Amino acid sequence: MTNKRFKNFAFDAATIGLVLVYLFPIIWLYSASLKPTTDIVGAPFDLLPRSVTLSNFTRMWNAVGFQDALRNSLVVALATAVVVTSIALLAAFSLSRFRYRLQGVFATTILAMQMLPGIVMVVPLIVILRRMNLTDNILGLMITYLLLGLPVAVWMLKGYMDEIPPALDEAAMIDGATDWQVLTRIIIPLMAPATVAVAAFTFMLAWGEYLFALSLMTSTESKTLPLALQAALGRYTIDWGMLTAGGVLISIPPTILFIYFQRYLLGGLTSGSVKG
Amino acid sequence: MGSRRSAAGYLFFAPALIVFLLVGLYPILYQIYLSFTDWYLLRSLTPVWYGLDGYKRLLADTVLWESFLRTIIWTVGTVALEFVIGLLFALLLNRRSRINAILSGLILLPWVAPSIVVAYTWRWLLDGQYGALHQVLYQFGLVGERSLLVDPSLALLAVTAVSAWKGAPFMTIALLATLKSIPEELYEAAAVDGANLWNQFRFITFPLLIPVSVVMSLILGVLAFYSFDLVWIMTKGGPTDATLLLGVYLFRQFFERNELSYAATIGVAMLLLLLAFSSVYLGLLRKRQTA
Amino acid sequence: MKFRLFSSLFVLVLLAFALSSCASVPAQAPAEQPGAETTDEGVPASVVFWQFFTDPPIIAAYENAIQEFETLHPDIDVQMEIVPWAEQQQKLTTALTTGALPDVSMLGNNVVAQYQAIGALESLSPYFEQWSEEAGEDITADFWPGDRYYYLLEDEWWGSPMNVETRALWYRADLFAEAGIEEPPNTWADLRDVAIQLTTDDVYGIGVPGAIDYPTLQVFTNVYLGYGARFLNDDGMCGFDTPEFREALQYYTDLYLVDGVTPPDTPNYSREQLVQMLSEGKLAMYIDGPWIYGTLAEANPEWLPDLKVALIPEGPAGRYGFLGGWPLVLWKGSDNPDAAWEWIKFATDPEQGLPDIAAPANLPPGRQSIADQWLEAYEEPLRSEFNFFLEGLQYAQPYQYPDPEIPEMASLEVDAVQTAVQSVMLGQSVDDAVTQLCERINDTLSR
Repeated sequence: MTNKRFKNFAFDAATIGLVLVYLFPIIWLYSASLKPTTDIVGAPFDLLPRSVTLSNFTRMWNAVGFQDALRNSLVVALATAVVVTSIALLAAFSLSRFRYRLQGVFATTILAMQMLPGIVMVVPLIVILRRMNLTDNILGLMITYLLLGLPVAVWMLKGYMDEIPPALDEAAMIDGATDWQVLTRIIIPLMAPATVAVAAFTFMLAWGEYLFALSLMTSTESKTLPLALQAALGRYTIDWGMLTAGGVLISIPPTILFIYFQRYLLGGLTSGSVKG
Repeated sequence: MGSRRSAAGYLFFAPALIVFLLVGLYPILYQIYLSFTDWYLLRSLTPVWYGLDGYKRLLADTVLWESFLRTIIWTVGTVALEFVIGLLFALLLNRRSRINAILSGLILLPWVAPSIVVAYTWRWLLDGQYGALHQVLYQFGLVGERSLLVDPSLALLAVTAVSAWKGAPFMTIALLATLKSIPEELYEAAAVDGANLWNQFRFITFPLLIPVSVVMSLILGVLAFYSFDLVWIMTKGGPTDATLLLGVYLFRQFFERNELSYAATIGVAMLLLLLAFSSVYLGLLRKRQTA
Repeated sequence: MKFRLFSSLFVLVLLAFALSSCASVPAQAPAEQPGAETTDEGVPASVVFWQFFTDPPIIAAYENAIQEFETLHPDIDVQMEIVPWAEQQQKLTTALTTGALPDVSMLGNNVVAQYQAIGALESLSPYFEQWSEEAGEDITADFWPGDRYYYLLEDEWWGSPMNVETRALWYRADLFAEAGIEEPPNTWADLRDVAIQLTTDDVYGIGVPGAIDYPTLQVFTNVYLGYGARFLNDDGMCGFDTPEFREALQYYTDLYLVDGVTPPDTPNYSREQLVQMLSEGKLAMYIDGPWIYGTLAEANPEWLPDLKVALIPEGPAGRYGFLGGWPLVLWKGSDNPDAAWEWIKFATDPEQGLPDIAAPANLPPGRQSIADQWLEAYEEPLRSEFNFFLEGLQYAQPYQYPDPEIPEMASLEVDAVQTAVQSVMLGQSVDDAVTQLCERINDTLSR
């Protein structure tokens, strides 16, 4: 018995140790963001700050373009989340509840689009958006995020919708409900948490996206957070303290969202592969 | 499940279809068109028909072929490391213990962090002047005075490791989910038959993990093959092209050299490769669904 | 079977759609606005002007100048639009394809040749001649010597200088004194000796950039021009395959490889890292422009009063620096070219708009005649130090001196020479690096 308890303890200790080593860069980032700049450069090994300061955060907050960038990121990510989730709900409903000739083609398209990486689309999308005068424009950026976010959202929502017994909506239809009412009154309320989770996931995608933001958003006022962080490198020097504070500020929203919605997202994300 | 009017089915799919046609298919076709043109912004402001010459240039471009090879090494390295880290953590976290619930959440942090944050954090950790990790490696004599990221023979290894570090949690979670679905009785029966821990792993756990590992490796492999952010922010493809991946090369042609059509040609070539990847992926999925 | 037929039809329709839409876009060129060029009816001629700075003091200076100008010319209406530097290239490219160009704009001096080559700019020569006649002297003689290689292309002028900039040698007089060195180095050979003496466990003698970034080329240009190397040869192709260039490249990279007087990560370091090290007191010398002073003053190290400036050292072929800057240009297709010219003339005239507009950029004006006026704005001891930047402008030249700027430079300056520098620092031989550099340059030049 004691032997087993010891074994459990040893395993726990080893697991904690390895996870800490693995997470070292993250812990170090969070810790550095609270250190005064002199300690960041002078005592880089201290995992815990010797003295805690919020000055890095205030400098980042007041840096040129940071507040604009925060607003831009929020607008783009929220708008993308809402639009993508709405379109994806309709598409998932279509794939989950109807039978028609091109359904297989559509489903395959979504699966294929899900694998479409941004880098192979960047040339034509940028050229087209330049022609439409949508560069350096939040709408233009959002259009590219639709492409990145929609396929995954449809696929995850379809997975959750498939789990709701069709008998429920058939019963409602017998009572005279229309397709639209079945979707909005029965299905969406039943999968509300999953829907919010998918919206959160889309939000995260848009929030941290770098390639299209870098290619499209050029002026200081229209940059999103990842670009503002890069700009914070400064024209002439690197303010490490400010940079770590910015890194922490950008990481917090996706981290909280993900931890909160973990249960739904992990199931949904791996459903294509794990559930089969 | 009763079938409903198909018109409604099309209608509900229509918004998504419009997005795919306008933002997906149309740009792809436009890119194919561009790949047959010559469009060098320093010479002309509109594309000029060029036929297959862009592809000839692509075949003769040694820098591109070197990047292709490098991208394969990077992809295989990333996925292999992700698998090793993922398997280690999945096995550790699968034990029933109070702390493991918390740790399985925490371990996702690198995966959730935006790539700009990951790239800068590591760039700094490895900096020859200020980097904490660099100084540790230096103390152990594993690196010289200059950073890993300055050494052309080690920079690719360094960025590959960072990429695996970021992607490993995804692999961990998928493997963990599969481990949790293996019925306890299998191990109990094996234990009764006298199998030790290693044999239990070898004959029960590992074979059951193979299918999910293959599919996850493919997904993570595609992600790695087409990645751009991490390497661009950490090294911009340098030093001296040591970390020049296909995606970085494409971006450079487009934004730094103003070779719009050549970038499109590379894009089309990368799309064709993707077609091969995804048919393997879809084939595997179908096989699993019918199995 | 049916599905396949359907899908191929589908693709065809989309292809047709795609091709027709890309064919139709260039056709959307702006419709001529009838009557826009007639100004005699009392309608002011409008001049659209793209200005690239977002700093409030610069914008205010332009607004004042425009007001003053419009009082003098009530028949002209100057409309300033702010197009930030980061955005201007993309905006200009878009405007060129859609025809929505401004009448007048700023332009990086390095891309004037690029836009001139595709015929997008209007020659300023006739206007300059007239101006010289009015002034009774050749106004172009007042430009800084290096500017002619940027703006005088095919024997005509394409830009009227607004601001110029060059770099000089920043050094720590306190560290020099400690090491018993009395004077800043005057030649590249001196600089090397001094750097070796100054390098200690805590301090590097000099920080030179080696990353694939502009500062590397701009600092190295000082060296290779000083060694007598040329970017282009007499046939207009790569001119770097010479002993002079090899010697310069060897010199620059030896600072890192042989002498170890610049930090271990030099091949990846650019301005940000080096200024950071300078501000932390870890560099004794560093080559850059006047703009870094603000950053250092903010860090306010105790040795700040000991931070001095010297001329860029001279090489076997003489003293050379790098010249940056921007002019105003007149775009082809302007509805009111004469009105547009009047604005350019006013804004770049040392007796009218130029002194006030050029000052807030904190860089010298494009005319030598008002250089001293610019310096007055700084107080001693900074004034005497900054005087070296003005003196340096006499030696400042573009990368391809003594040839006129080439359109391909905007693409070559991104990475070509930097790659050679970095490769040698990382172990490639000078010969191989030069061969590859010339292949790259010739490849681009023959595109």
